[in-house]
Amino acid sequence: MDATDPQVSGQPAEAPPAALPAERLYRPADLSALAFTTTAELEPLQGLAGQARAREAVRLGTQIAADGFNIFAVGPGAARVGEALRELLREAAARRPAPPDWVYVNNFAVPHRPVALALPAGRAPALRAALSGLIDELRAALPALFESEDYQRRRSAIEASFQGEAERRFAALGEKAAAKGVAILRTPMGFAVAPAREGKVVPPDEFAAWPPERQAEMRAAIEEIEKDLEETLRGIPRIEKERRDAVRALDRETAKLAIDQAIEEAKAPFADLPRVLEHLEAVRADLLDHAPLFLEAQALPPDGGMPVGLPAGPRSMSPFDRYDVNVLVTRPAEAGAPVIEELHPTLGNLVGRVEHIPVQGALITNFRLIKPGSLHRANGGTILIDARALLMEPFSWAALKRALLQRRITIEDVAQHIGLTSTVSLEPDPIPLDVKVVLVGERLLHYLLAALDPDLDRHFKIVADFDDEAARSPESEAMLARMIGTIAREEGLRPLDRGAAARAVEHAARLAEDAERLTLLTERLRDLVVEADHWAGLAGRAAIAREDVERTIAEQRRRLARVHELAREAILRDIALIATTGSRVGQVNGLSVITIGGQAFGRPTRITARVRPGSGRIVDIEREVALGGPLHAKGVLILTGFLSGRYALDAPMSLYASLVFEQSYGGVEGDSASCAELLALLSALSGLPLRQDLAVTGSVNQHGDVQAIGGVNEKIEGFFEVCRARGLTGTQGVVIPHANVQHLMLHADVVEACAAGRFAIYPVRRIDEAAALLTGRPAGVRGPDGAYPEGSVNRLVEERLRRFAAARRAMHEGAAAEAGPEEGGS
Amino acid sequence: MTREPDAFRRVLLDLAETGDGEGGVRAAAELARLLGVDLLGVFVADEAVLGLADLPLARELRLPGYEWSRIDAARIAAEFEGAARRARRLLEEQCARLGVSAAFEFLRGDPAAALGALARAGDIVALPGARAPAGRASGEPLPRALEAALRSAASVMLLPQRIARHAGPVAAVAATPSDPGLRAAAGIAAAARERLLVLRPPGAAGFEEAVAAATRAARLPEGRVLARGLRELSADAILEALEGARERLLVLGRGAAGAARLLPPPLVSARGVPALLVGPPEESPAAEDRKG
Repeated sequence: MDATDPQVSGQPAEAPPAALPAERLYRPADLSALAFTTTAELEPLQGLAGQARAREAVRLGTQIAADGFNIFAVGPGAARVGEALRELLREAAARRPAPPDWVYVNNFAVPHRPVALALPAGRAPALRAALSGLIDELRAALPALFESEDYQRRRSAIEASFQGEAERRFAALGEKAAAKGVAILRTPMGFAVAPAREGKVVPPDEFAAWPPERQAEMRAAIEEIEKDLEETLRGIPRIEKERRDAVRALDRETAKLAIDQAIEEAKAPFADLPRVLEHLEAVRADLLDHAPLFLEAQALPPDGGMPVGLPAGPRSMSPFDRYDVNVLVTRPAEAGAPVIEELHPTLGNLVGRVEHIPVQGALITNFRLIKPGSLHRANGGTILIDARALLMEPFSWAALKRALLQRRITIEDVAQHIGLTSTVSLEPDPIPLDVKVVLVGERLLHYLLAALDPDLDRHFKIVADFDDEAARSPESEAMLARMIGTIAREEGLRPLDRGAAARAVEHAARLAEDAERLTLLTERLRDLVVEADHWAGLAGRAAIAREDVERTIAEQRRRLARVHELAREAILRDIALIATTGSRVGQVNGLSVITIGGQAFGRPTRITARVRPGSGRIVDIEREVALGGPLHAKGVLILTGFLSGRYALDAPMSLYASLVFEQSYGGVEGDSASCAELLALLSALSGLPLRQDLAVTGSVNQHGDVQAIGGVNEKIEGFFEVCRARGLTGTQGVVIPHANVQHLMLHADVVEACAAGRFAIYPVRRIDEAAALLTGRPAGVRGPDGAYPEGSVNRLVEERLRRFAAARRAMHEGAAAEAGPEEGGS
Repeated sequence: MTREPDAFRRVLLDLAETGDGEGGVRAAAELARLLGVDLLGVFVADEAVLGLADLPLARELRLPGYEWSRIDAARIAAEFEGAARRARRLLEEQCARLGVSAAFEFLRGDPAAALGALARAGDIVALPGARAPAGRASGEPLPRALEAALRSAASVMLLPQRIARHAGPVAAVAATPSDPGLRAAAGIAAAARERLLVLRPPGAAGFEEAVAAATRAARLPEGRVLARGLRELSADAILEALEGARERLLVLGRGAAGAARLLPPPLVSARGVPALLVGPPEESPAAEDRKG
């Protein structure tokens, strides 16, 4: 037994509540502490205004360099969290030093594993220029060296030496063959040996005419020459190899001077960078091995002719590309750490990619075709990524986590992930990763990830939770006025005058659905200001006035009001039956909110109840046909608890009741109509009619307390519009939970009607107050004798339930018939 | 019909002897471009080789596998055609690169005789200046085609095995002021926008006027002519005089060659640049020897 229940304590049940005064229905803004004529005079708002919690979280996250302290900023999309963060992140990044530049260079030993080199910020372009200049210098110097008399003389000496030996061997063979009457001829693929006479091959018929001895002699001679020929030819490759080695040694010696000089000049500016020096030494070694490249690449004779080769660029195919420097990321030293926002976080955009070019039907690549991703560009700084966009891209989320775990960026090929392979692939050196990742996403996304992905907590330990709203106070109203003024300034719009600013602040409360809070969803405020500016412009005003803001609000509603108007029209045309006068047993006007396309509106719905003896079950017809959701079902079950706990406690609950939202053909969810449903039940049980000029909204618990619901403003306005369309009678109104009074920010027309006494809002704390209001009878409190007062609502309900219990007992005791299919009714 | 010694008609290039050497084809194509003439590449399939198939004793040592096999006429013919195709492709690539009009002919017969039959006055027959070592196996000091070319009415360009330079002055050796090599060299130097280096034999009268006339005719600017004296008209003296010249082409009149009793191939090997022998064959040393 609940001692606080007036029914238990014996305290008098509360009298029907009085209507709310008009000033409780709308809280105007108070900007009196802020002196300004227009918002142009207000100091712009920097940073995350009204987001102390989130701001401190972001600040902490940017100051902690340890692994895992990345930031997940959560908030609704309309809060424009990303934009709000950018300024804060840039401030933090500016205090950090610029990260090193990164380049990829050729790995001469293992070409498919390009080497990554780090250089101090801003120096990568100088390395690229140094190598480019080195090659240009050698392209001029080396050909001149190889064309020099000295080189030519020495080269000719080598050729002559080796060729001389080969010549001698062949000459000796030729003389021997000639002496034996054998000819040696060149064929396309080798040599042939044949009988000869006077230097010419003996024709077949002539040979056939020779005497057998002579033929045999010739055969023997040919065999001997064949053997000598083969032996001579087998010796040539060795001679040729020695010749090539000698030429190569000469080429190296010739090129060395020019190459050494060029390399030393290139090394000078990078004396402080050991790895760069190491690479330049590798370049030196490779140049010495490939000096002839510079001769082959002489494209043009000095007097003209057609050029060879492709235009310069990563996709060109010059033999000197091997010495190029692929500058992956570079940043001036004075620029500070980067803040990069990745708007399209595909795998390639995030971790970089290796491009390929088609060459004769095959795809090939090289270190010059490595492209940086946003992680490369953000390395040493901060990267900002939309969480939803990241999760929607295949492989990206996993790749990001891998990069954070391994603390390095590995360029991954999507084709490898899905089992397709390229003709030629690269395995570039991974680049160490030091980045602050800031994910931005909706709360639900964060909650889901936190529940389902154990890695989230490992990598994103800082959650910056952006408030949707702020508590309303003169200070926060002033802050919001500045925010709105800042928006107008940043968007290049007209400033707002005091009235417009105040109205915008009030609308912020309406958007928060709470008179004591203000929305911080800047997207909605921006929309308001942009459109108001438009109306102000049409009106020829230099500043946005209150009426412009009013018009904006009205136009925004009107643009999305088609469904709302159709629903209202259906009521006015009695297609949807809603009574706004009179009274009826077991019937009440409930209220629901419909949200379509970002707009919400209230709509009255008739709720009816029928009762008869039964087994204690309240049938929720909506749930029976699967139109009622679990929250709605819960509300109905609570009614069972209420009835069982209050009435006919000395008898089993012998009620069968059915509840329905009449003419509702869509889903019903939530328990905000449970108060109305209970009233309908009480009416059906007691036989007392309920006023139809009042609508009811509120949730009720098992003790009969009326609890707060959502959308109270829309619900009230929805019923008001129907009553107004039919003509206000002066008795109409809406019963709401007392706890919702603080949420009221009603439209001006409702407030005016209430002020004029033509409409009313009644706040109730307990079901008995609502019952008294709608039946016109006191609810009644159980007396010392345990009975309710005669004629009270509760008395009539209890009596009815006792009769149901008796009837049920009679049935069980073998009564022939039930008391009738139904009891009660109008 | 007489023809101006420096009025060239075309360049004939022996593709079979030039083989896979890109340098030789390039040199011939460059000369054709400078002279403004067409280039005819000729590949002659040696009939003597084709006929070996009928000889029961004849065998072929095939490289690089060092396998001996019977000579198959059809296979040899196909291999000649394959070699000709490769040579033609090389010719067309180089000519396309240099913007030279090129034609190709595939012939069967005796290479020396075939080229000789094609060559006319005004032609330049381009041949390797020295035989590759394996060619010495035939026992001949010079390619037969080269002998035939030297006997023909055409001028002859000897190509080194390895070309040292593709840029530099055009060096001219003339025995007399009227040597056709002088005017030819001046014309080539002007076309190539290179300098002309004249090697003057000792005691040559009227030489300067001849040089002046040749350079005027070729419209070669005055400052672009150099001169060096030869101590004598001999191969050694020519090589001495060319020291440091870094020439790209050596032009000799037949008279100079004859007077020097020199065979151009050693010059070509020593300098690593092509040598162009200009003039009618009656001045050639071979013809002189035969007359003698």
